[in-house]
Amino acid sequence: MNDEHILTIEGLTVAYGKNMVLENVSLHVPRAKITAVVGPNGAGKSTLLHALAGTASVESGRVLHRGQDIATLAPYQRSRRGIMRTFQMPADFGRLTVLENLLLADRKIGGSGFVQVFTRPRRSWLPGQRAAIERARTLLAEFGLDAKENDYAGDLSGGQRRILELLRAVTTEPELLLLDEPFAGVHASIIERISDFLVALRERGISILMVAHELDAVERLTDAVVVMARGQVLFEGSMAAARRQQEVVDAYVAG
Amino acid sequence: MNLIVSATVFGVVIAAVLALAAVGFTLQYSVSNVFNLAFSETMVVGGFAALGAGQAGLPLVVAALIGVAAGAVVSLLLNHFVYQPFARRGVSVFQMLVISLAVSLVLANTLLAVVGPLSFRYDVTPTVVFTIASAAVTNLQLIVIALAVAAMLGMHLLLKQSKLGLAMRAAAVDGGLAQSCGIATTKVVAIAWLISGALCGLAGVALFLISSSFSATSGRTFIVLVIAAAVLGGIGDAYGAMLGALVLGLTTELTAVWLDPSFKIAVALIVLIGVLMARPQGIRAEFSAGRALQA
Amino acid sequence: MSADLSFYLVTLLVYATVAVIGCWGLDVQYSDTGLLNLSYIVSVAVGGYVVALLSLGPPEDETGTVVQEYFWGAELPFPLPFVGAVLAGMLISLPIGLVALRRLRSDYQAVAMLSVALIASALVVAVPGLLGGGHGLYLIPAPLKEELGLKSAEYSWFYAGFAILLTVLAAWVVVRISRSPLWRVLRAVRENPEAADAIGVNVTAVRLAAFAVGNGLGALSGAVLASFIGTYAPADWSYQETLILMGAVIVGGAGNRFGVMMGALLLPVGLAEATRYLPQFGAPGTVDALQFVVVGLVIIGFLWLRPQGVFPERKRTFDVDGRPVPFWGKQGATP
Repeated sequence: MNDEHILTIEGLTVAYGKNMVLENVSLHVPRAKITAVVGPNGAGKSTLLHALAGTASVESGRVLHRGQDIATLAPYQRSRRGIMRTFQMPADFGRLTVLENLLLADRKIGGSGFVQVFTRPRRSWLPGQRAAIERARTLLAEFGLDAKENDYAGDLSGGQRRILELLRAVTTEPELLLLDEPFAGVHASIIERISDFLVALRERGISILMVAHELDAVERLTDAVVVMARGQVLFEGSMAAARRQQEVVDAYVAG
Repeated sequence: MNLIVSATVFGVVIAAVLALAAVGFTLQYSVSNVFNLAFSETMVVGGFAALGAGQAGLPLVVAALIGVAAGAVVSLLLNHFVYQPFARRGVSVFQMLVISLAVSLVLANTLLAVVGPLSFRYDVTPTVVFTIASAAVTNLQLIVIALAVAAMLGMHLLLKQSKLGLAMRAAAVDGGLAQSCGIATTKVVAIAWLISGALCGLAGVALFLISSSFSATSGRTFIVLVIAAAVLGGIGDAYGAMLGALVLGLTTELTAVWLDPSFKIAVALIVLIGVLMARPQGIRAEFSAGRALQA
Repeated sequence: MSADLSFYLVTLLVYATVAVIGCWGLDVQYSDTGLLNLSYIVSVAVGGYVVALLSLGPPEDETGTVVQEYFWGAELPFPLPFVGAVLAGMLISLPIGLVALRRLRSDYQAVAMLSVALIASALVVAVPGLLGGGHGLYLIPAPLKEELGLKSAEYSWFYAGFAILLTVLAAWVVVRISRSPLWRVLRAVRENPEAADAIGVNVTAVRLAAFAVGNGLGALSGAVLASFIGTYAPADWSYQETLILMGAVIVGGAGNRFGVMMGALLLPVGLAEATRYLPQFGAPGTVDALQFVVVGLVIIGFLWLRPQGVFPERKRTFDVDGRPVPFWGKQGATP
């Protein structure tokens, strides 16, 4: 078990029918770093993320997290291990308020199970909830969403919903964030804020793996990059090294 | 042996009725993406309209046509005044289901209030045309089978060969795109409901033709048989619906040979649940993915 | 108070409690967790039958002659039959849930549930030896009637009080859920099961649990009804009844416990009472049939004009100190 890597992926293969979407993919996701997975359309980047998140079924291969193969775990089980993913299209709970969206993710409130709800008095979860509300409000204020805490999440703008989803993932205090195209269709100013936020998260020791389409957009952000094309890993290493490799440039020209 | 033969005969007959119903039901689902749970009640309305016409002295064929027309009109009105407005509003799948259930409730009970709880029968007496291994086959049964076959052929020609059919298939697959291609989607959808409504009315008349008696509540459980046939065949696939109807008709009738006949509906439902669990795309697996009006 | 009036009021009260408890169970399933349970009435039926089976005793009497036809019975002391009824209601959630709550599309799910309701009805009628067939069970003993030694009129008020007590208990259950963090989890499962999965919620387990709690409440309402009337037969639980309860939830206000209670008082109870005073016209059963027509039209009307119901669900907000704002407090106040 290598402490440098939060995830070790070995020989991952995902197929849709006869279509090999991921072919024998092996790579390491470094701990406390921001790693970008880039490549042309159809490279299998999103599929890789889905496989890591648990929403794509894996033909063969292993995904090692803390020494255990999680390739067959359901998404909620991976989430409980500290692996959180965001979706390409904003996925929020439309008829819950912004504040409730965050509270939902907070693991430190009690009273979330049927047995607990009926056997413990209300005072057992009220203090935990109050503290969670504090934390959530602080987080929302950082992004200027505090005024919207009582709005239904479904009523927010696209960019705001994206931020909310990210904040929600962060509220679970994850070890690893899997971000699916976090900047797609997002306004430039918001990209700036999200980037800063991701850097801050990295400083706190959270590992980040994000699927992104353009190298340029993520360049200043990433420590490591994985280049994919046609379901295979072409290159794994630092950003600078990626730029030097001819293969990589070719993949982008051809793909 | 006799029982099996006569069960098979009746299985084919009931499959004919189911085929008419299932194809109509599938058509409605394909163009409007709604499970019209009021379908079997509409069948009953059609059947009763024919009864009324017959009692008013009109000849059998005219009465039957009136039944078909009633089914068509009710279905058209239903789509125009209920399903389409709500769909345009944008309601959830569940709300749509609740709406169609409410409609079935209204239809069923209005009919019940009007005709009362008595049993009726058409004023025709079946005559035995021939027998297979001492299982009698009546003229009415043959008529129903012939009607079903004719209707299926008509549907096939419509879907495959005519411009209207092409338009319907296009609208079913992607209404917006069809519209931008110049296809008057609303008109096409209305025609689809008219045709499926006619099939519905015809199915109702056919069902009552082969039943020894019927009442206003006859349609209550029939809807699940229709859905079972449609789902079995792969919802959205008209040919699958026909196949599903045949399988279901035979299965229910044959099991009635060994089990108590009152289990028939239970058998059909268990088949439905089984298919939903094991193979929701139906037995014609290549044509899965709900909406397309495959032909 | 005259005996007739007294009996009428008691009947009204008991029917009201049955409707309210039943609608609350459906509310937990439908509004909280997003489960359209078209087989809800089966859980009510289970409650009614089980409470009967657990109070009637064995089907044969001492001499061995079969008094009524059912497959098994026990004579348990109060309140065990009721406890058993609720447990049975929760238990049937397992097979039904396994069939219908897997990852089926919503419309298939609903059809599967509807089929379950119809199968149950068909089976019970087709196999008289199971639960009395079409005739159902009768002579269901009234709980504690012998022990208390009350006269009929007094006993009926006792029973009404008992039914109200159970309603209070049911209220505690559903309001607890409504005011707890669990409610957010249920709502998340309804809104976006995929995202809920990604956040660590075991969606299937949550659905099954909510399903079971709702069915438990349904069974309780069935038990209260069956023990009161003393008979229980398939005519009391047709699948149309689920739609009446559904209508009450929609009209009253899905997701609002108070609203659902009002809806339950208005629709199942109010309608039945209102039509009681209409002269019976037409063939027998016409007035009953028209009741259903009214219910159907009301449902469609409300879904068109006011889908949130008379008492819409309230938004949950928190004050400056992070305390939940109670339902009488000012909503949406920015801290």
